[in-house]
Amino acid sequence: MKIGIFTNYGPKATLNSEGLGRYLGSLVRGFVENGEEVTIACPKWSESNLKKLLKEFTVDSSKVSFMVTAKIPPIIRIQQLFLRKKKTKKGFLNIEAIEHAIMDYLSGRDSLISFLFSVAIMGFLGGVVSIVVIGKKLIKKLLRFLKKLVKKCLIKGGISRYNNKAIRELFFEKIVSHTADEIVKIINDGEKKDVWYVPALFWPQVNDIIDQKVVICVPDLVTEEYATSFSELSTPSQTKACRSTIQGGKLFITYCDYIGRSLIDRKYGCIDKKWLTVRHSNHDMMEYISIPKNIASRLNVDKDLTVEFAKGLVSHIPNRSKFGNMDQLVNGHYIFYASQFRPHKNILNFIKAYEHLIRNRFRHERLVLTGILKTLPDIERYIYEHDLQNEIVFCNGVSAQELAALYCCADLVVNPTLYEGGFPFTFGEGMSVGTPSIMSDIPQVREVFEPAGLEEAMFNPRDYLDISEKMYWALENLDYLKQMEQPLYDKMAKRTDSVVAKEYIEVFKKLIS
Amino acid sequence: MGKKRILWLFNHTSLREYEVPLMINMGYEVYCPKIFDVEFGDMSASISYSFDNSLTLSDEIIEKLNCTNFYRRLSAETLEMINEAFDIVFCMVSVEPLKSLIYGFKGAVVLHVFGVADGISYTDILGSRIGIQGLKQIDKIGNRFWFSQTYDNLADIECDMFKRRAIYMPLGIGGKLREKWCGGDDRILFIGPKIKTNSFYRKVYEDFKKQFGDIPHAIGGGQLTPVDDESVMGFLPKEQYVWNMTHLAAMYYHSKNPRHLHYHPLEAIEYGMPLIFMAGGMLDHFGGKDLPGRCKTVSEARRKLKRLSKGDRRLAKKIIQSQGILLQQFSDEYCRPFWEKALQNIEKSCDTIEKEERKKLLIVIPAKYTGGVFDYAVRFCKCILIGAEQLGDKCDVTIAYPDDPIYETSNEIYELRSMGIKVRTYTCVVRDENWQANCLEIKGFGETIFYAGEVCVLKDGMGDFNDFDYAFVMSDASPENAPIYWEIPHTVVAHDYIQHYIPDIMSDEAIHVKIENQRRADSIFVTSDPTRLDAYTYAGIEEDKVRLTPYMLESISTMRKVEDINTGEEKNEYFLWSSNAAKHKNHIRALKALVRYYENGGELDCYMTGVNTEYFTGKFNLNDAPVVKEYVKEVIDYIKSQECLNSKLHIMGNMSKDAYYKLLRGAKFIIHPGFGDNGNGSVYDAASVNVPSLVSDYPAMRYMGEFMGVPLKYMNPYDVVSITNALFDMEANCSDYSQQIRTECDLDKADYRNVAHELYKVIKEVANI
Repeated sequence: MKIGIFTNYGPKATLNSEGLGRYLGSLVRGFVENGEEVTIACPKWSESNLKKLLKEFTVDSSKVSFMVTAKIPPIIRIQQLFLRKKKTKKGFLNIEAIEHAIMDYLSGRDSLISFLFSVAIMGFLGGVVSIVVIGKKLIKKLLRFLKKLVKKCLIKGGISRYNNKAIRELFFEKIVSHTADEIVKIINDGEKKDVWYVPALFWPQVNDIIDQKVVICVPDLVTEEYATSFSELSTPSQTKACRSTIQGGKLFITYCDYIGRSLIDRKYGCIDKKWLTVRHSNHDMMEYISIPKNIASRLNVDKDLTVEFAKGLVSHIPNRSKFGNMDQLVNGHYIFYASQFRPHKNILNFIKAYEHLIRNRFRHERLVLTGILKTLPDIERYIYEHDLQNEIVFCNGVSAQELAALYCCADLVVNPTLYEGGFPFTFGEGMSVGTPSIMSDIPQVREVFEPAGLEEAMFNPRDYLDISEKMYWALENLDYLKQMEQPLYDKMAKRTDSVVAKEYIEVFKKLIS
Repeated sequence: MGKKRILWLFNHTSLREYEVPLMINMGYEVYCPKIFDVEFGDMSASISYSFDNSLTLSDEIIEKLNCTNFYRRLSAETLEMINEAFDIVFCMVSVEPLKSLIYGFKGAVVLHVFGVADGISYTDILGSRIGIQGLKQIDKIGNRFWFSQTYDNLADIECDMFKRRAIYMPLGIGGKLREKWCGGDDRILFIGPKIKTNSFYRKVYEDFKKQFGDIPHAIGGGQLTPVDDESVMGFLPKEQYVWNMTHLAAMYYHSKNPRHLHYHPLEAIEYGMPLIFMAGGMLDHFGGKDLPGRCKTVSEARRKLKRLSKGDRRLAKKIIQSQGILLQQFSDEYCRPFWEKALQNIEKSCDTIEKEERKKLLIVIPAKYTGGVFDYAVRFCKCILIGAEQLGDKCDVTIAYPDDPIYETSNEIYELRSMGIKVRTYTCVVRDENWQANCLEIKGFGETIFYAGEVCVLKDGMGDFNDFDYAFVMSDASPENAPIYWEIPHTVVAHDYIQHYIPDIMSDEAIHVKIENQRRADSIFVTSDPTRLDAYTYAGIEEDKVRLTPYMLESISTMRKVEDINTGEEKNEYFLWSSNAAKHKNHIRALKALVRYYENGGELDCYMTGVNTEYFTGKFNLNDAPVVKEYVKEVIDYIKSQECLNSKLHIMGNMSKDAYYKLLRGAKFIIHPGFGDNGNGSVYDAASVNVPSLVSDYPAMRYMGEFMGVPLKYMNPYDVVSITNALFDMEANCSDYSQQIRTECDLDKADYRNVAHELYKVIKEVANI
């Protein structure tokens, strides 16, 4: 089968072995292992990142071909320059570091000639650096001017309601959208594939691919459901683009049946649309922290070294918020929820439930969250007003290994979400390191939990008292809960990346037949 | 499975003549309405019974359908009947029936549209009339809703949601050239209906007269009132109509609207009459761009019309021979395949099985109320439980209130929880128009906001109450100075319109917020008939929206132990004044009357109680007090100036319920000299402990007295002497009046538990439970 993968992620998108990169990398690896011919269509700016990603996933690069746009737009080049600077933080423009390096070097010169020569060289280099710095300042000024100009145009265009950030986003969206047109043109002019897979909804242009089957992934349309909150966080253009993609598309893959039914069938249904579900693969976190058992016996220690290692990792996680005390985390017990703070994640209600748990039900677990507090000011206010800053710990930006350790050391994983694209990863992530979960009773969870007989492990996410009572019950019955969830996890654990990639191939065949 | 049954809610004659036989021919059963309102029907509407024989419905149901006005809000009974009898409804953009259908019809709702004036869209029209909540409901019914466009470019200017649900069902007129035109009359035909009754058509008529008035002409189209112009023919019998179409020199069609087309130019082509039309309109879309009848300018049209009027047969022939192309897209050959495909899709959507879910009802306390409105809300919740249980309905009830410590210790909230009612708190943020526009766009409802100005958004941290099916807002107030933003259908309870009677009782902004909250609501609950009338005449609420519901009173006898209830034997030497610190409580006149009472030998002390009345003592700082400072100062000054008041008037402030009841049962009687509100429920408390009441005579108080079945003594609140005399009368006869209460009253009748079914009946209807 000739499989094309359409991507047009912006230059800011991170493509590494986690999240989005992991999804793409493991899919391509699975396709190639299955003997399929894979072509990736992408903008010039992501070509090298994607190639690097494939290398990380040990994909034989000769088995993957690329269809790439001709060049990177100048404005994206400039943006990349700034992005590089941000990523390296104190890179080549860190004056302090340069100064130190120069002083170190000069202090090492032992002859006068060598010293003077070195000063001359330094002077020359300094001049070059100054020109670059001044040049960059000029570019910054130019960009500011351009931004003003764009804003004026936008006001004339009737979209004056957007703030600077939104305008900047719109501007780059426009460029990215133009690139999508270019990619589609290359696809239409190029060799035909059996199927083009589009892993996201952001590019309605994929509906302009002609004479080739296009299968689009529909993760969700959460912004539409929680518009009152998202209208403060994002511009509507992306949601509009997602809608256009679904409207124009015919074949879809979803991560759960509920999204297929509620979004594609209920909203767009009855007009030539077909969808099938491929659930997420399992995220086994054990690989990040596992210490082989024989090491313990070799060292003659009577302890589970994996847990000890995890505890060590947790105790060193930097506490990124002003709340909570990380050092004492490993000495006590805690409840864990790994998630960004988004309006549909139900964090405020979860915190209310947690407050009830410790103050009215007298439990002594802490709560560890991984979101960035400032994204939802209501939560910060609530925590201060209710004096919960000692009990709730925030540790955003943790590595995969640290995340695994946090899961491992937790007593209980709670997922209070109100809406998801598929069955949440947190269940498998927790169980892979031995921590059971209780989860929201939402259709995306119920369609997995109910057949597995796990209704008891669900709660009504909109009722904080119900969440609280379920947490209390779970903490009192951790072994029972884990035992109950083990069969489901064992089944899920078999859904490795490569198994899921094969499922994709099967589903492609069904959809295009 | 047989073909589906269609309820086709139009009365347009030509439309019916094509669409109904087409659908019957395709195997459907179709019912056409028999009642129409003049405002909808215009002059092209009529009634036809000729398609009823396609129906396999019983005569009884057909008779009921025939008696139903489908241009108004559809009652629960009607909805039940059409849910039983029909699978598909075709309807027009008529707000009330459309609202009834999207909320209450369980089959496919096909909004059949024909185009609108340039510059507006159906999204604009509907959004401003059914609100965001209405659009959200359309979104919610998902694939059962269809935006059936008769021209394939109509959805282009609509919001994403309508685009998504757009389906093309072209307008057909049979499409056969009748070729009957022979000419002979030098007049040109122009169609201009409703000249004196519709400003849009008046302008069309005036423009025509200005531009073409010198060319011989006749103006067709029905007129609701006569027009003083000989060329205006008015409604014509069929023969005359056909004669005009076949003998007048040509027809002129003015419209340049790219998304709307009238029937008459198409009819003219059918008759073979030369059609002169303006470029840029819908006819261009149907292949009219190169036609000889098309005119780019008025002078070009004048030239051509003059030639035709003078009998230029060559031009007429050229036009007639070429204009047939315009009818192609109206022909049966063209339309039928689209209709077949569309109806297949619509049929599929009828088969969508929706799980019957428990209705989720939200009761909202929209500001920090702790008194009457709070009590009302608590009883309202309980009534839903009682009503739902009686009728076997399944619904979940949640009460939401401001995130404020005053509610944390509330026993009533604790009690509601124990009854299975969920609770939710909210905070409020004020958002501007840009936020609203963003919100609408994200939801796919277009970018035009339907209401100007800022809004209060009630944040619950869980999607801001978007998970509920219906909300009941317990008053028309907002937590901040802006109307509340709702995405779900809702009812607002309007307890009274005090501001209508006491103009300076609240700020203009506060009044604006209250009225806006009501106008944006789907229905308004009032608890007295006088308030119902105020809702129409003062607040301008449509009659259909206002529902009269019972008061939510609670008899003390059910709240207190029996031994607590006063037997009426041990009265003390005082009476009680139930009040608060607001101006409508009529303090100055009442105090003046009290002074007269004491000066003329009145012996009873007066105990004043109620929220904020403690400020009248003059012992509290008024700077941050929740009262109108100037007014309270005026009252304080008056009290201080009267020596008798200093000794005989005892201001108790806001008392605990227990203390209040104790004071109440020891009183000889209770007085309520205020007016303008919705009646004063404390007289019910008083009657519960056999204490008689002296109240102001105003309609709402009279209504409340009758509702409670309590014999009240009335006084004129505007007349100090009348109040004084009434006080003496009460002092002298209060024992008799108390006896009267004991023998005549059945207070339990008015208790909220005994009227719960009445309230629930209305709740059930508005919330489609």
